[in-house]
Amino acid sequence: MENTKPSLFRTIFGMMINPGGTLKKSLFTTKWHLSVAVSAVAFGLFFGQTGFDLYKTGQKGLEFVLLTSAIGFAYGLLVIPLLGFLTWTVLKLSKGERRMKETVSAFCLSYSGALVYGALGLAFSLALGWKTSVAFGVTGVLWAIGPMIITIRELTGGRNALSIPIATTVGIAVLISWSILGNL
Amino acid sequence: MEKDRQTGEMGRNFVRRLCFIAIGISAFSDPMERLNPYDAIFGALAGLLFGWLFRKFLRSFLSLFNAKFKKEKGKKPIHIAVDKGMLFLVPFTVMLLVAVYYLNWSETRGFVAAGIMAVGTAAAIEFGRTKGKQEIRNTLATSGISFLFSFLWTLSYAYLAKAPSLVEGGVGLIRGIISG
Repeated sequence: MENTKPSLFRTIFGMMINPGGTLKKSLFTTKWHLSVAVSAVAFGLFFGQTGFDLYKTGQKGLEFVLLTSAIGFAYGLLVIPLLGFLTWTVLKLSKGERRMKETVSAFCLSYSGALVYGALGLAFSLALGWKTSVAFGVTGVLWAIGPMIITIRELTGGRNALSIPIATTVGIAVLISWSILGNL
Repeated sequence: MEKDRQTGEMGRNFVRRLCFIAIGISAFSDPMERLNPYDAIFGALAGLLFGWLFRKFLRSFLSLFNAKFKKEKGKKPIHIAVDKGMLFLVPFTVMLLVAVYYLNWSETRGFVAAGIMAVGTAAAIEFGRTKGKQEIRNTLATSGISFLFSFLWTLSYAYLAKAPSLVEGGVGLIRGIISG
C-alpha cells in the first residue's frame, strides 16, 4: 500500500478546500512545528497588515507595523496553540481519544485559509496600495472558522455539539483581540 | 427514539431561523440608530426569506444530484443533512452580532458570505456521512449554490438597505395623512 506524505503546500490549500479529507491524510504526517508555523505566519501577516493600513493613513509609524507583525506572529505561535490545548482539554474531558500534539497541530492548521488570505492581502497592499486588513485579514480569519469546526468535529468523531461552541468562542476571542490591537 | 429525532429537528429549525433573523437584523441595522424598529423588522423578514430560499435550493440541488438515493431512502436524509449543515452558521452569526453591536462595525457582508459558504461545505459533508461516501459532485453542487447565494446577498444588500427608510417614510406619510 502506498503511503504518500502530502506536502505542506498541499495541506494548506487542502485545509481551505477540503478540511475533513485533508486532516485524515495529514494529521499523522504533518510535523507539529510546521502547523504552528502556519498559524504564526497567518497572524503575523494579518496583524501586520492592520499596522500597515494605519501606517498608510499616517496614524502610525513604520515601527508600529513591525510591532503589530511581531505581536501577530507571537499570537499565532502562542495563543492559537494555547487555544488548541484548551480545546484538547475539553475534548479529553468529553472522553476524546486524540493526543494533545495532534489536536494542537490540527487546530493551528485550520488557519491555513487565513495564511493564504494574509499572503494575498500583503501582495495587494504592497502592489496596489489597498487597505487590506479587513478585506483580506478578517475574511481569512472568518474562513478559518469552517475548517476549525470540521477539524474539531473530526477529532470528536462527528459531534457538532462540541465543535460549534468551541469554534464560536475562538472566533469571538480572535475578533475582539484583533480589534483591541487596532485601537492601540 | 422518535421523540429524540423530533426534538433534534425542532432544535435545528429554531437555531437556523434564529441565525437568519439575527443576520438580517444585524446586516440592516443603522450604525446611527441601532434599535430602529423598521430596520429590525425588515432585516428579520429579509433574513428569514433569504434563509428559506437558501435551504430550499440546497435541498433541491442535493436531491437532483442524488436522484437514486432519494428514490431508495426518501428525501428525509437529504433534508436532515442540509439542516445539520445549517448549524455551521452559528459561529458566524455570533461573531456578526459581536462585530455589529459590540465593535460597532457596519461592514457585515464578509461574515454572511463566509457563513453561507461554510454551510454549503458542511451540508455536503453531512450528506456524505449519511450516504457513507464523500462525493465531489455534492461538494460542487452545495458550494455552487452557496456561492450563488453569497453573491445574491452581497448584490441585493446594496439595494435592500434602502428599503427600511422608504418603509419608514411611507408609514410616516400615511400617519400624517390620517392624523390630518
